[in-house]
Amino acid sequence: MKQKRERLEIIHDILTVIMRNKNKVKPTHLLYKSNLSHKMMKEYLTYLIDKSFIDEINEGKNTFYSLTEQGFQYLDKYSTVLDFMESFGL
Amino acid sequence: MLIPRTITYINTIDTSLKLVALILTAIMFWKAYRMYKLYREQSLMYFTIAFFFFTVGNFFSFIIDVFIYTGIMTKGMLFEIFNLHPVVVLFLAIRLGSLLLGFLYLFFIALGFPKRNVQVAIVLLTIIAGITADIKALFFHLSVTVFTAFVLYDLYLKYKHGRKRAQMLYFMGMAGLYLAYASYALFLFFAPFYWIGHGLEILSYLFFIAALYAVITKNETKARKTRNHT
Repeated sequence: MKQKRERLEIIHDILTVIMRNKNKVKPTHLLYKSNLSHKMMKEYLTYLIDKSFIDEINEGKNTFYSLTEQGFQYLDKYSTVLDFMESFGL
Repeated sequence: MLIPRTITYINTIDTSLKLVALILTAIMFWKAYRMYKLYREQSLMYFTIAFFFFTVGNFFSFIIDVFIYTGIMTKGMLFEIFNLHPVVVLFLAIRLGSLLLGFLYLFFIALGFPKRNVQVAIVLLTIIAGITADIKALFFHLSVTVFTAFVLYDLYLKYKHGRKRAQMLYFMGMAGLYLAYASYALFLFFAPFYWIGHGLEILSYLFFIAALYAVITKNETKARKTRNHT
């Protein structure tokens, strides 16, 4: 259960980093901010693209990641859950 | 001797209040379950289980009433039949056992999750208490009062730390439940306490829903602001 939760936390962290950077972030910046290994981050990004939480945007030589509507919704739900837990003494 | 009682509007109010309690706890259970699916934290699981048991308990509470007040039996007959009719005895045991287990899981959260074997022992004792409870269920009401007192104290400490509106609403709801079950225990000595308990119980569940609503609306507003900013 704990492993699963950690995974959710990492996903939340990645999505938050993207959102806080005006919804457009380079992979290098994401790697630096999310504190993950390159291999791990690639796995997470593939997973998030598959789940349609983020989009990969190619602009010339640069690649960026941005949140989709689903990604925003996931972040909203996640923060609601955290607030719910705090409010209900959990 | 049987003392038949006709179905009165008081019976209808009684049953309606139980239906309202069932709906409110079912809403809480469903919301908690959805959140647990998203964020698999132990405390959230215990909270979901607690409200699952409240829903089951309130469902059987309602079913027993429907069974009694739909003309099959009258309340006077009930006292004769309670110790004889296995279905009524079973339903009553499930109702009391479920409600007690619900409070027990909230109690575990307040205790900070005791060891698994301690939990199993307490759950077994609770089930036995539920099954062996008498009609007036004094032991049941006193146990719930003790559990809610612990939960209340824990919530008070957390509220002092956080001071959020939703925390206060949930705390007030739990305080209402504490008073409701204390009233049910006193109902043996003074009948109107039954109605006071009923009123307080519904009020408590409404406070829970208000706390839930406060959390959801606050986060929706926050999300809207964030998106506009982004």
